[in-house]
Amino acid sequence: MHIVRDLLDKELIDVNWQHMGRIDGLVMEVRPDEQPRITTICVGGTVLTGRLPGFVGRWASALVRRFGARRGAPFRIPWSRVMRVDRVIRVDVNSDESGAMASSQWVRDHIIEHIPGA
Amino acid sequence: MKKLLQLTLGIVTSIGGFLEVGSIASSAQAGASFAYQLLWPIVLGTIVLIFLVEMSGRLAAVSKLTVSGAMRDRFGFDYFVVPLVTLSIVIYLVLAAEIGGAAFALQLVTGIGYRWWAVPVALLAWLLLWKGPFALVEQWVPMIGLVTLVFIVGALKLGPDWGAMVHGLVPTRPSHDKAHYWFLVVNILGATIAPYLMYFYSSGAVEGKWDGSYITINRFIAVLGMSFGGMLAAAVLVAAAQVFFPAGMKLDSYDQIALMLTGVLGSWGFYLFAASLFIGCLGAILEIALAVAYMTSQGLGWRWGQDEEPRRVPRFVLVYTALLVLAPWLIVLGVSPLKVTSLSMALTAATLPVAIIPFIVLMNDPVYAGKHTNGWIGNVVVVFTIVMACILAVVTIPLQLIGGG
Repeated sequence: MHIVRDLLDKELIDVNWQHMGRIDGLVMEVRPDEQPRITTICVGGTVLTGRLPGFVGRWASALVRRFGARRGAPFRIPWSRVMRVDRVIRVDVNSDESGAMASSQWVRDHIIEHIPGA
Repeated sequence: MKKLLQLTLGIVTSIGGFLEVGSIASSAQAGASFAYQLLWPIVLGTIVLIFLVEMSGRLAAVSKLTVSGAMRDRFGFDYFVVPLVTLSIVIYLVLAAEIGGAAFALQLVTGIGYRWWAVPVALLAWLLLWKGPFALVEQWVPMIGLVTLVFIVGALKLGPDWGAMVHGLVPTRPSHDKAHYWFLVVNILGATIAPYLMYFYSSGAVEGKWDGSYITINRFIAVLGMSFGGMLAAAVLVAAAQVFFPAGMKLDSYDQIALMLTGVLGSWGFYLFAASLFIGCLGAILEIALAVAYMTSQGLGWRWGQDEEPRRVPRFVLVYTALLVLAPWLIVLGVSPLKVTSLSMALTAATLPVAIIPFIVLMNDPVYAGKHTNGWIGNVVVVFTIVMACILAVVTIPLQLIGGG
């Protein structure tokens, strides 16, 4: 498996077959005398904006820290929750109840619900 | 039969490519200044668009991914963010231009100035997206859009010079106003080959749950849909060539363009022109607002879908809502709609390379295109388009300065 080709930026599907974002970053653990292994999948927050080069990345990250859900901290999924790696990655997480959709829920509760006819 | 009905997706995409304000304005200006000599960019744009739209549909049918989704998948966030940001900036001007066009159509009919109509037009478009399912955009816009056939009726009734038209299909060097000639070439191509068409079309295909069985029908839809639009854009040019070129008129406002069909079709011509302009622009507004919402959501991994309830896809809805709230103000402030239009078309041309380059990779990668990867003809067309797009991107701003207005 190639980490960048097969995992990074791919779509995440939750346990209920709902879209829950993309793999914006990965955390790896390197121990002496062992193969490096992936421990965590990160979704959103400064993990994504931090991938942009130079001042653009710093500026975007500052915005996300100020206005984003969880103050820019990414949503973390332990690698043990990964159920299947295909062109999409399915994980054993209920996205609607785990905080993964915090910014989506914020937009829904604070903006969309206030529009007449919602 | 159900599959054939998807032709409407092709037609609505085509309206956004050929019958929105940018295409109508640049075709009319081309006819007025150079008679039939600039038919070739319309034909070239149509051919290129047929290929690109076909590829977008094929990608969606095989991989169930949209062009934007596949771009993020294959090229990563660092690349995806470039077309996303450039498109978002340019699209603001394009959307303002379309709102200006629809508002101007209302001014023609009501006599009330276009600046007053910009906000109502944006609000109408937003309501249609907020309340309507995808089918509303996909089926009703093309149906009402048939009114634009009036351009073909008008062009034919004006008795065009068929011999000169055939000559116009081959690129020739201009005898006068070189800068203005190339400026119009770039504007026509920029108005026709717009990246948002591909994002919209592939998203429509995914919303329509296309699968591998749509590969053939997708080809028909691309060819018929884009040819329909190309023919209408050509008809606008031909009508303008008959009416304005002999009089030596240079079109510098929409008021003049509106008189295109009045001589031959009387007051009906005037009202049908206004109706065509309105529906073409409204269709483009819906298509653009959706395309940006699709692209952002698919690339960032947000839930999306025009057939979903708004509260299920809040960030998707937020994108098109914010766009339609922001877009009318340039027009309200009284910026000339025609100026905004030609600037936005030139900038669209400048952003083409980043949008087209991914096609050559995606459509040759079996992970995305399965066993339906591009043949050599398709690849030649994409490479040609990329080269052309790069040239357009370089020349468009200087031409805008020396050849525009």
